Amino acid sequence: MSTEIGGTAPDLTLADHTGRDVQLSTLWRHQPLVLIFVRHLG
Amino acid sequence: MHVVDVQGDYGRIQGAGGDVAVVTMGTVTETAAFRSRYGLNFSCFADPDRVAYRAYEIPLGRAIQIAGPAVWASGLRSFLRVGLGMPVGDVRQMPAALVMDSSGVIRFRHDATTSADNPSHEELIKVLESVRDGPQSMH
Repeated sequence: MSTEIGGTAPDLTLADHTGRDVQLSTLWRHQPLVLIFVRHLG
Repeated sequence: MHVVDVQGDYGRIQGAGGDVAVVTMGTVTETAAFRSRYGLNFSCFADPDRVAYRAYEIPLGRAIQIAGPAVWASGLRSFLRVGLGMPVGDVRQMPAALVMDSSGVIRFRHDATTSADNPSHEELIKVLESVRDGPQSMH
């Protein structure tokens, strides 16, 4: 699975800010998703 | 691209047909506090073990990329605007931004060359518009 442009995004399950497990594809399934990875909390 | 700026342009991003989610290296509690502190309306995810960072192959940076001169000015500006963010997780972790379409295909990827390097919102909105409008948008 390539994570470069054109590849398929890893469909992981992560805990959101409420502690609920969310599969990432549920976010992009209905509309494109901007996924931002941050370095620190601010 | 501080998340405060993303929040400020969230309406434009949604108008271009997209949504936003942020992945942090904090715990759920830390991520919730971060989201609340900056008044974010989009989903934020806790990844203290960097599972997603590794799966998406977000690279670790070298010292010059993380704390070199190119970062100082941006860091100072951010500090003056929004205060000091709490460092969590691996300090070598670089930031990144990706856009996935509704099939999960990666349509855009920006890997930061320094910890202060972020794609412009205009760039993200253009990508979202091209995804929304389809191939005919390229003519």
